[in-house]
Amino acid sequence: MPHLGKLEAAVMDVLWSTNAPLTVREVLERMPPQRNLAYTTVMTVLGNLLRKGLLEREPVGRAFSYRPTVTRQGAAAASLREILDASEDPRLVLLHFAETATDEESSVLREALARRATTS
Amino acid sequence: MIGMLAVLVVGSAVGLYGHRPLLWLAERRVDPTILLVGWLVLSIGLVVSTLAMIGLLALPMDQHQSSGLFQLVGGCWTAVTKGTLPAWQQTVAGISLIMAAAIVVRLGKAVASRVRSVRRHAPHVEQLRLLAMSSSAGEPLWVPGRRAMALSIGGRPGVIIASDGLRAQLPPAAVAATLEHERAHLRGHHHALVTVAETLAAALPWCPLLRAAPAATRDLVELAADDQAARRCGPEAVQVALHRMTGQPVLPFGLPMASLLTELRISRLRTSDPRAARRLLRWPGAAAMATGALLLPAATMWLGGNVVLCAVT
Repeated sequence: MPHLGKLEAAVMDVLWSTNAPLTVREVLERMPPQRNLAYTTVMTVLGNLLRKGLLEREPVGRAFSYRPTVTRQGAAAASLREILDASEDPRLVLLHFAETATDEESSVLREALARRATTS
Repeated sequence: MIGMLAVLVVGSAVGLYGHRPLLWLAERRVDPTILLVGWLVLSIGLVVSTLAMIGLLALPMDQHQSSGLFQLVGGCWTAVTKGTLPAWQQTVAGISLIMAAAIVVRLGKAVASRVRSVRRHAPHVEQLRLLAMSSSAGEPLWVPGRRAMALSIGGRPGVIIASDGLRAQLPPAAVAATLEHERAHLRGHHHALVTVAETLAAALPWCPLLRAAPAATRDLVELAADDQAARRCGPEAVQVALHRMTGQPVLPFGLPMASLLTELRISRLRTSDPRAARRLLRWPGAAAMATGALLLPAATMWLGGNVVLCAVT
């Protein structure tokens, strides 16, 4: 899962919040006004996200519309799996609600997330 | 010297047997917040006191020639370097310095190892924080998965993650109780408390008190979070959540597959009402526990202050 910067996460948030694909202009209009971004900035961020494989685009007239290739849930699952993979002991990072069998639970969780990531 | 030896003996007793009264109180179901205060204050106090006492033993306080703090340090240094100390005092000072250095090095290594671990996870945790950015505070980041799961990641801000299976398999009240449990972990900085206990245990594993602290802290933060969830959502909702997520029966008997902690958690929720009046005793109890646990470091500081003040004036 490629890592997101703050602005990239904000743009992805706009795209995840909408079901339809959006053009650069539409993304810019939906961004929080306090960010006060330029059109070209949003276009660059969308280009970066496209290069990272997190977006796909299709031509709409003379512009492109962008849609996410991963869901927010899928991205969260991938990040969580990366934490588990990088942990010798996931208990050092996570506090589970049910910790009946931490080792077993961690491996089941890792497998479940891996399975979802490959099928999504 | 007698005062120092007395504090050293008490410190040794705390290090060797300090966990026993805390475990005894836990068996009598004393409020987990009070016990958490006891474990952490006693553990940190023991390490600080040990270092302070060893440092005082290493200082040849009676070898200074003039008053004032800087003169005292200079006098001690001169005494050590000129070899004017009696042989036994040099030996004590040497052993003390080696012990203090060993403790400091081990603490440093444990902290460095923990920092490395945090750095290793930092990009992924930051990613989760960014993904959770659009959720309102305290709301979870939902991940796909049929297995009912909820967990929290500490830090600023903390993140709660829950699986779709949680919503699918648990009634709404139990889902709310589960999420409240995770919010309690974040509000109470439970991740940080566990980290402190684990770091001290990793640094000084030969001390029985510090060795027992991580497991006790992990269990107590779960009990404390259960209490908070039960207060806000009702003990029944937490009980149902535990039952559904662990697959264990609600009744506290015939649990061959149950972990002791889950058995205890379910049993506590059945038999005690966290909304009861005894909750009012929590903060006075925690204050009393902290006062008791601080006796050793306070005695050490008082003794150290006396020794230094006596020498410099």
